[in-house]
Amino acid sequence: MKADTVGTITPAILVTLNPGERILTPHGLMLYKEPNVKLNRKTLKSLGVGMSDLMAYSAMGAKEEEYFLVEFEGPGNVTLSRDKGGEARILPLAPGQTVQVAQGHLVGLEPTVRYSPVLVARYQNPLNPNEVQMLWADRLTGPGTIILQGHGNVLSFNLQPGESMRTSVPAFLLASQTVGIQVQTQFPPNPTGIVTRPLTQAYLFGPGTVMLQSGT
Amino acid sequence: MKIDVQGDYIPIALAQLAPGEEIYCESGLDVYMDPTIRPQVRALTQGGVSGVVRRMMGGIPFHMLTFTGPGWVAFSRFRPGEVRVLELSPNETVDVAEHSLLLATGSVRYDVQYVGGTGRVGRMMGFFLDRLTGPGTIAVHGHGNILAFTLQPGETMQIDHGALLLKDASVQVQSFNQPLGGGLAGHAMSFEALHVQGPGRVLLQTLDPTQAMATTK
Repeated sequence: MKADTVGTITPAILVTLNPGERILTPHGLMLYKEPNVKLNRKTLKSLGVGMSDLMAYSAMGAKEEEYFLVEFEGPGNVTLSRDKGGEARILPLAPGQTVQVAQGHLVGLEPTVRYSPVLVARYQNPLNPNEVQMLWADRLTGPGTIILQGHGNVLSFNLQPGESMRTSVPAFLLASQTVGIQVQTQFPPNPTGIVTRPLTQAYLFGPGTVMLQSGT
Repeated sequence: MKIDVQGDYIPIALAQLAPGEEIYCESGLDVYMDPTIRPQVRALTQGGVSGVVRRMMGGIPFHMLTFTGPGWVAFSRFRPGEVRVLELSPNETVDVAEHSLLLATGSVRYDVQYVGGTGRVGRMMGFFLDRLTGPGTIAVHGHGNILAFTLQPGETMQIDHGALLLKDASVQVQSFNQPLGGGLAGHAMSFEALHVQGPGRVLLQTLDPTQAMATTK
């Protein structure tokens, strides 16, 4: 499989598949394909996601979670787009290497990559304390290539052991499995006495790679 | 007439009009102009009553804005993308997706082309393309990036409905149901796409305009 980024405003990923080669993508990303490319449906269950996990996603209200992925099978070209402005990244994962990609940013993965949606954190909506929000991610384990797209520009960091950083929750794009993630809400010191919104941030603890996005 | 494209994120088409030269567009696309430019609302009566009725069915406004030189006038779709300027020779015809035409010179004939749907509920009950016939110059705005292809006779590609930006009139377009895998479930979850067949030019856009509008509301 060969993947290339085309365009810079709303990038598309041109995937060239040899005979029998396949790529998995969330549904609705196809821009065009050659007629030779076959299209199949792969349920999360068939990809190894447990039934109990699927029921948990549903119970926790993972509204945007897909219960199947679309599989394109070569030979031929297929082009994928997330319909959002930003940068795309094509990342090879080594065997056993695991990353978590914020939900809604995965563009594609090779079938050799193990896929599993995961709930990273639950936290209060800073604008409505009665509402619970959830940070979902796609957990991906190599070997194989994954493709993702950030909204806006993608900023990469490599955290050393013990090093940490704080980020707004929507800015989170990708983290290595070794990176600890906690979402916390705090009220910053406010000498004016005027009521302000609480600050909800994701705390990221090294070691590992972190990618953030500049748009939401 | 001279048309320059400026900007690389939300680009504008900047037209320099000689005295008496005229371009037209939908209302709401002008960004700025010289005081010497004369804007005017004009009824689009090309093709007579049948032409007007067909265009109205196709969602094209009855009134267009014309801008007559001398001077500069700039147009934008106010969304991220790329602008392409195309010279149409006499009787050369292209079909442009809705909400993508930025401007056309006064000599360009404006009509609609209907593409039948698959009969499913939704936008694929059929849709209209803007049909533009030369001679003259047009500028189109592609949402996101523009990908250009030249199909040989009989060559085909299958594309998402929102990806089509422009095609030559010689390129055939037909909607079809793309099953999502095999079996009854695959057919039940099928989605509608377009089958295009050459010969001719096809321009695709990487951002579905309906998505672009949803995110900028």
